[in-house]
Amino acid sequence: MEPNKTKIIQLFTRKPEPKWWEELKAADTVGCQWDVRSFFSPNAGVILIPRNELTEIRKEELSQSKAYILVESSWTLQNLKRALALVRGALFLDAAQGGEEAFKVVQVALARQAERERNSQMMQMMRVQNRQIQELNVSLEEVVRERTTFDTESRRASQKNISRVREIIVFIKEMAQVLDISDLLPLIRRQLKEYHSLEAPLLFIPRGEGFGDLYYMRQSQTIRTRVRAQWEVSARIRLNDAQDSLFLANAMGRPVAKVLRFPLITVRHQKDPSRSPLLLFEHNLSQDQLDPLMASLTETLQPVSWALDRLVLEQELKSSSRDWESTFDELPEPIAILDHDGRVLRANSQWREDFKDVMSNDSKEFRVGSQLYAVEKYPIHMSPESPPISWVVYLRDETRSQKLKSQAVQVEKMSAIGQLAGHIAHELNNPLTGIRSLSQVLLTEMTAGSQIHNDLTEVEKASARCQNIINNLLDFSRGGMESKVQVLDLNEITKKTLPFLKSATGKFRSDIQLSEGQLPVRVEPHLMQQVIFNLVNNACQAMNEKGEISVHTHKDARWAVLEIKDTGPGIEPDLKERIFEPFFTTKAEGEGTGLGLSLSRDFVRQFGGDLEVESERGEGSTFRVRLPLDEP
Amino acid sequence: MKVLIVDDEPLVRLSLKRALEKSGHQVAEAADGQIGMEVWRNFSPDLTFLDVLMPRITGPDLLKALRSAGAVTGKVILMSAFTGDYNLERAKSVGADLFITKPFEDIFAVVKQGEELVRGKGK
Repeated sequence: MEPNKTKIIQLFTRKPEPKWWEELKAADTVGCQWDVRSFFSPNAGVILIPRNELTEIRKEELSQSKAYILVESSWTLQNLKRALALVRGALFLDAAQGGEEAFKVVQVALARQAERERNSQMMQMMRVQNRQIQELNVSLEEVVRERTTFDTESRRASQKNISRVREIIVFIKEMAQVLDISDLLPLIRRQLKEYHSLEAPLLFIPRGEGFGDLYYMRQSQTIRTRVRAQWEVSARIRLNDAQDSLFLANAMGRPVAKVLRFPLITVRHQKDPSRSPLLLFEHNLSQDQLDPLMASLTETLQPVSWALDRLVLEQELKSSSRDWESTFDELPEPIAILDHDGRVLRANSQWREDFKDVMSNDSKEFRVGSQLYAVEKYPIHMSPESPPISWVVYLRDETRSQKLKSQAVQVEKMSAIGQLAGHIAHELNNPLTGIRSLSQVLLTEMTAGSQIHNDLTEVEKASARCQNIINNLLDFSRGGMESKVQVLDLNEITKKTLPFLKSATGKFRSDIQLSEGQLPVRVEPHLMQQVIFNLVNNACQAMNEKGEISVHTHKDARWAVLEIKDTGPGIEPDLKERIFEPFFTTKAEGEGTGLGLSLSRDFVRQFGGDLEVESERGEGSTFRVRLPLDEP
Repeated sequence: MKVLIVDDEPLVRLSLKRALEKSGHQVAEAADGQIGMEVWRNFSPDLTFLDVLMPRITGPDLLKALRSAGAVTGKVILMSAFTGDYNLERAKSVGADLFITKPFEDIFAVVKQGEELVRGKGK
């Protein structure tokens, strides 16, 4: 506050100063500045208005002054009201009281003015402060508004984040449910639809050195092709490599521009990233667009890696279990995994329903019908201490191996007999030659018709018969040694075999009718002789004391047919097939091996023919050998 | 003519000798290859019946030894009772002129074959 202003006492008058003005000035004890003006000075602290001036004052003039107003007393009430309406503060000055008393009133006015001034200044200050507060408020509001905007935005961002995470979770779920690799691509394509610069994805899965499977989409179909390519596969992202474009172009048979190659690092390929699957995209990305894309692609495609891990593993498991299955199915003998109760958990194709009782006893052998199996059981334990949870059961066909063994023994025996027969024939031939030749010489020295001539003739004839037998034996034995398939006349083989059967056929009537003309067949002669021998021998053994044995041959279209018929009791219908089973015999122990018919049928089938039997009870049996004719 | 029989079977030698003598030939015998070799050198036969399988020295070995010594005389008929191990071709390859199998169907036919061989007809 300016000090002079508070102490400026102004007399407002347009007339001569009243006589108390001088008295008042003289009573000043505080050193005020006393002014007389005909207007309301803005600088005055107190303005004195004489009684006679009051009506002249205009409201406008007065209101411009901030001074405290003192009016001369003895105003009318009406005037006073008017004055009070005009001024914010007013006091009455009673000039008649004298200068000193009047100055006290001036001092009061000064004090009030000063207070008013202070108040006004305080008001001023408060106004400034208010304004400052208001300004502060405004800036605070700004801050709050900004803050709110920020919050909203970050909320939106986090919501976006959440929805993205949700999306990924859904994607992971979908990936986890994919059953086939070819179903991956449409899902990946959908997941990446926001990346407009990427074309539909392609998937390459390395399967071995220099080859793999390429999956790509044509319309909505996923196509798989096996691709052979010397193509560098590594675990790093590759952009716009000409090799990749060339590879895809070759694989799909169409031109390919820019390629983004994105490795899917699966758990299984962490150690060997060169075997990791690759996602490939045709694209039109620029290098600077790549980095931000990569980060989000890595995240988005992680579930694909997981799914691939699982799918490739499943695929490999499936194919390896298929390999095992076909391996087991190829094995000629029955193998199965059984539980304790003999339930079949898994079995190869040789396993039959009738093997189910194999677990019911601890026997090392198991018989089904005429088949005999050696049983081998291997327990499967979950842990070394626990009891077995299941068993691998392996049935070795003993019938088959015994049959093979017998067959080998038989062949061996025949070969030994052949060699032996050769030696015997040679040893017999020499003296026999002498006997016959000497008989012939001596006969020339005898008188024809004499007793000695006749006897010697018998000796010569007998030695001739012996020679024949020995020649046949030699033929037979030589066949056994050579074991060679050749084209021979079935009639000839039959003729050569029958003499050996004389001891068997001797007591029966025999009816031999061989076809006219030759029956050329491709056989091993000694095996075919063995067949005829077996069949005729069997036929004879089937008959008791009397009966007839017939050996007939004929031609039937492209077949040579040999029928050996007996008049024995015949074969029971249910035994008709079983008689061809190895070791099946109706003969007494030690009399038959049960192999004769089985081997005979094997041999005939080996020559491309067949051996069958016709039999009626009480009507005898006919065994019929059919062999393909070897004719041009 | 002079005929040598080399065979370890006495009855073969006897019957063949009797048949040959009936036709007027001079016959010498040997019971194995070793004796046969000596007799051959001394006797110088026009025709020899030679068995394949004999103890000590076999017919073909005897023939080969004599051939290399230049001591073979006359024609040679190789005989075998073990058909299958020899045939005419193989007999000729070891230096024989004819091959016959035992047992003989007719001893006189065999003698005739020998005579014809020596006369140059039976080749």
